[in-house]
Amino acid sequence: MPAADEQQLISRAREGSREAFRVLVERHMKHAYNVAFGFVGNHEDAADVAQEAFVRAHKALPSFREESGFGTWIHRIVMNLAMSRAKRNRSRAEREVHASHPAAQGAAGEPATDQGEEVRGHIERALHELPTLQRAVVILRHMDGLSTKQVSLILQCSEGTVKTHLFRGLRKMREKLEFLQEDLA
Amino acid sequence: MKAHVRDKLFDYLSGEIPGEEAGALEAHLAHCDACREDLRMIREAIDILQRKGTLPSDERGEHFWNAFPARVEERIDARGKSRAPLIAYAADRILSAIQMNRAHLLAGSGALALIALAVLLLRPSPAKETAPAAAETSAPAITLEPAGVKLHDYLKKSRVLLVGVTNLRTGGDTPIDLSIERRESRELIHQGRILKGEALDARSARLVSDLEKILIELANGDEQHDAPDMEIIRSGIRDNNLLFKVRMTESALAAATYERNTQ
Repeated sequence: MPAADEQQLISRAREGSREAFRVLVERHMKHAYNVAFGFVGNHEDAADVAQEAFVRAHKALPSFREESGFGTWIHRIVMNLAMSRAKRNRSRAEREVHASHPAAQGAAGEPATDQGEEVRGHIERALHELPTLQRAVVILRHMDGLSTKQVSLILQCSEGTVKTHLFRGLRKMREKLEFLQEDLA
Repeated sequence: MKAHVRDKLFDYLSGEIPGEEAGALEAHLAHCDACREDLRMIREAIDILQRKGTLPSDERGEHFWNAFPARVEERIDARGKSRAPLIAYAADRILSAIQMNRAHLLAGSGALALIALAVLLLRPSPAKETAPAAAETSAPAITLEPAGVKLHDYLKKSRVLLVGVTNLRTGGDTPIDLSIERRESRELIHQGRILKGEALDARSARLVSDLEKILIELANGDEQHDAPDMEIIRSGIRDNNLLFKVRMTESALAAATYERNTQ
């Protein structure tokens, strides 16, 4: 259930208050952006997806049943939009991932400006190689910092399912990024 | 390793299981190599993710975040959503009910009257849907130049058409009747080609070309579209920010003419 303050904002936004909706946007925009970025992997698409999610939320506000918080709801909208966008970009993304695989990076890749940036690039690429649901739970749980329960509400599945996808996703991440372990230690 | 043990590893690492249960898990880990290995793997993977450092949102400047809510509002406005959401929702529900029951309505003896009502409600009134804000209506009258009048008329009709297509409800199983939109698209394609033959500035010419692609898609489609077809057309409108570009060009056109008129 949303907090009382948020419930008031939702009610006012439903009645057409732009100011109330703006507060909701301001409150959740960064989370929405980070989740979107986790899926699409670039700032341009992340901005587009996050903004579009709020537009859709505004349109659907009257049908929002408030069984979950506005944050959970907007996360779900962002995820659906971001997954569609990522799917559409997949062929291009796969080519990019392939070209920037660690093995190819040394030969053809642009030199990273610093070690932190390089590590982040590797992590983002490894994330984008995960199957959609595994990527979703890893992003939501360990990058957006949501609880297993919150992730299960967003994905509308059981906590057990979340943990199964999480386990598989983390195992793949670990395998792909094993070469980083020594650098990071 | 059993799944329920594996699931507990996540709770164990985040300290979310009671002490007694944690003790039992530790006892299990002491003699189970597979579970210990899994725990190590999960811990290392989480560690790597946590070292990712800054969040993507931190990489955008203050200006981006200050402008973010306004951009969302621009998009809402660009889609003709100046109506209160409650009214929009009520309209959507009515449209949905009519669409779902359209077959029955056609079969009924009183169908004609209801179809007339459905047609009225199914096509959001362009005048209402895209009604300008009060500030715009109270602005001084602007006299456009002849070339500008044509472009303005073309853009306005295109915007009304695209808003209508964007707002059509596609949730039901009934195919969507787009015969009116097809006719309108053909006329606009013709109008756009005439405009392209005239001296348009580069931005307007690009916009007319972008609009033409969507209009051709609409004009050449079947009269009965299904939801996936519509989604392709809508994604074309959305991905190219067509409604936003149309509104911007309309505004720029009006502003330029106003400036000329007041000089």
